[in-house]
Order: sequence, then structure tokens, then C-alpha cells
Amino acid sequence: MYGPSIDRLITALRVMPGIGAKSAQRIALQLLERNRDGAAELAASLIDAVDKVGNCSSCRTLCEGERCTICSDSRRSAQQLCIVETPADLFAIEQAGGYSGHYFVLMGHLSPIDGIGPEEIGLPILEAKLASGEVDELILATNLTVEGETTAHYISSRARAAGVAVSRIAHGVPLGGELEYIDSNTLSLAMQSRKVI
Amino acid sequence: MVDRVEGEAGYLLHSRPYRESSQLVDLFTLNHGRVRAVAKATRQRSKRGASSALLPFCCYQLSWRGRGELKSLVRAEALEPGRFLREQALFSGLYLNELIFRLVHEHDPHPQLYSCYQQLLGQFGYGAAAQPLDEAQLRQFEMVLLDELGYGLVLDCEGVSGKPLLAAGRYDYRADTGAVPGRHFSGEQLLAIAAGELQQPQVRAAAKQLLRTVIDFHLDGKTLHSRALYRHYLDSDTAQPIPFAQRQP
Ligand SMILES: [Zn+2]
Repeated sequence: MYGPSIDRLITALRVMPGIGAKSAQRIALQLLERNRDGAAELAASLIDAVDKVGNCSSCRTLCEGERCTICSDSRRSAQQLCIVETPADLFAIEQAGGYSGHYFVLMGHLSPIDGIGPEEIGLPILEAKLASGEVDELILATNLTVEGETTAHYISSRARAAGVAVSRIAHGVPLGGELEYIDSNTLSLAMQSRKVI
Repeated sequence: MVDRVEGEAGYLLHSRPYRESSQLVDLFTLNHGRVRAVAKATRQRSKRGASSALLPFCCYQLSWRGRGELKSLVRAEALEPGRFLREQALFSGLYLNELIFRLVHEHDPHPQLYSCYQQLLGQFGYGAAAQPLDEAQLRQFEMVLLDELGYGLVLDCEGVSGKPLLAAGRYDYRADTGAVPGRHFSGEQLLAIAAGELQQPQVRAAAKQLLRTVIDFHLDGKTLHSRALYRHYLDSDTAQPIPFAQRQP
């Protein structure tokens, strides 16, 4: 409609999460009309990031270079390994603080109906890590969805087979949560997974 | 034709993210069979942190609208507490869901299969006390599924000749023709499977092999990923449950 270059830009912008046809058009026109420097910087930084950002050879999270900053930090313990689904989950745990071990990022979860099996989420790499004996404790911090639970139970059975201690992060009532306002599924799970104090 | 279905009983088989905050859900319902719908805004959390996402293995009262294949889920009310399966129970539950997902066509009602599914889920129980399905229950589900789809096993007579099956005979079983003289199964095993008598380990093993052959034939090249996952899981040490985190940071 606007010519091939603008149409191509509008189509390209739609790869971004949450950006539909309307927003893509608005962004494209805005950049070309009023912010060409910004547009050039965006283009350059995208090319740079796509070129330089890969996966950490040890934990699979996004990083520049061979190993990420966490895996190469000598103050962190490699004996504790926390399993998360995405780099965003890793980031959330780092932000919360208090954990000083290593991570392993699955980049997804097991989902038989979607055809996602152990290979697709890097479990052969994880199993090799477990077999090497460097890990003493595995902490499963996958999401509390049926796929996240499946992934946790599957990894836990493989870890036990390798003689590594496994724990799953606790889930239930949120901090400061008043019971009467909590959704019934969360509350019912909290009841079903209650523990002795 | 615009569909308007109100208060239909059903289960979530599978969900995947759709657009920014919605989910694409595959449902298994009592009177409409397998239905695919968009559940809007179920990936958002309310201000109080409550999630409105549907859970599998839990019975809902579902209402949807829409023309064509893709419906719009407008309401889902849970009819029972959430069932959070663990360990073996979880893997057997995933297996049931994938079987239905891959083999049942959309909008074909299968009330018999539905009630078998519901009954098996009911046997899981809740929380740490949840029990996995045993092999006989899994085979029973597979047989009901094949029956409902019109692919039921024929185990009283030979497929081609129509001769009655003899307990002393030896047979092979072909998914498209039925039992034929051969060597794989004994007539006694096939007759026991037909009668649903799966107590003996040899009969269970024969039933497993037989049903696997027939199911694979009807999957038409599609893979049942949960089967391999379940087998790998069972191959590992499954003796102890996962302890909840006790270690202080
Ligand atoms: Zn790393």
C-alpha cells in the first residue's frame, strides 16, 4: 500500500510480541516520519544482537560469548543447579536474590501433544552434567503448569537415577495473601501439597 | 451456522499460548466431542494474582460461541477441585489426553469414551494420595477408544475366514483384517483380552502389544510422544516422591 520498503518494514515489525497490523503500521510511520536516527540505531542493535548473542555452553541461557556471567562467576557454586524454563525465569530468581548456585535453562518445557520431548529442551546436556558428578543438588523451578510439572517430575526421576538430590520450589499461598481472595485452584493445590511444620 | 453452546460438561486436554494473553484450548466434551476454542485473557492474572487458566484433568461446565472450527470459550466453571497429578499418575493422564487429542475427530461426540475417561480420572484421587492408573485400566481405555472410533478389536473369530477363534490356536493380529492364523498370540490370550480378563501378566503383555499395533495403525504415522516419555520415566528410578524444597537459601 505504501510501497515495498514500508510494507516490508510493517510486516517485519509484526514479529514483536503484542504488535498487530495496526500497531506495526503506526510504529513504521512514526519512525520514518519523526525518528530516523532511532530507527537506524534499532536496526543496527538488532543486527548486532542477533550476531553476537548465542546460548551459554554450560547453562543454555542467552549470552554473549562462550559462557554467561553466572557460569563464569567463580564465587557461585556449581554444586547447586536450578532448572528454569526461560531466561526470563532465571532473571526473576536473580532479581529476587538469595540464590548463589548455577542454572540450567530449558528454553521450554515438555509437552507431548506439541511434540516437545527431552531432546528439544536440552535434557541430554543436563544428563551429561548430572553424570559428571559436579552437581549435588538440583532445584526444580519450572512453572506451575501441567507442562512445567511434567518437566519437573521427568527431570527428577532422571536425577534420582543419577544419584543427585532433587527439590521442587514450594508453591501455594502468596506472601501477604488473604485466603478468602486467593483463587480456588491455588488454594486447593496449597491444601493438597501441605506439609508438616 | 453460529454455535451457541451453554453449560456443556468437558475437560481441557491441552492448551497453548495464543496471541498476547489468550490460550488456544483443546477440549473433550460430553456431547460435542473434541472442540478447539480460544480462551481470551486466560494468561493474564487478576489484580489479586488469581489465574483464570483452565487446568487439565478437572471437569468444567463450558460455554462457547462461534462459527467454523475455532470457537470462542466464553465461560468455564470448575465442577470439582483442581486435580494436580504427580509422578506416574501425571504421565498416565498425559497419555490419555494425547490419545484423545490425536485420534478423536473434532465435533464427533463419544459419550462412552467420555464416561470412561471421567471414571479413570476419578480414580486418580487428590494430592499426594493420587494413584497412577494400572496397566489393565490403560488397556481398558484403549479398547473403549478403539470401539468408539469404530476400530474395535474383533477377537471372537478370524478376520478373513470368519472361523471361531480357538483357545488352542496360534494367531497374528492385523489392524485392518483382524486375527489370522499365525504365531504371535495364543487363542487363549486373545479370548481373555476379549473378555476383559487382564489379571495374568502374559495376557496383559499380549494386550499391550496388540493394542499398540492397532493404535499405531490408526495414528497413521503420527507419534504418541507421551508414550515414549512415560516409558523413559518408568525406566528411571521412581521409588521416592519429589520432596518439597526444605533447604534455606
Ligand atoms: Zn551459563
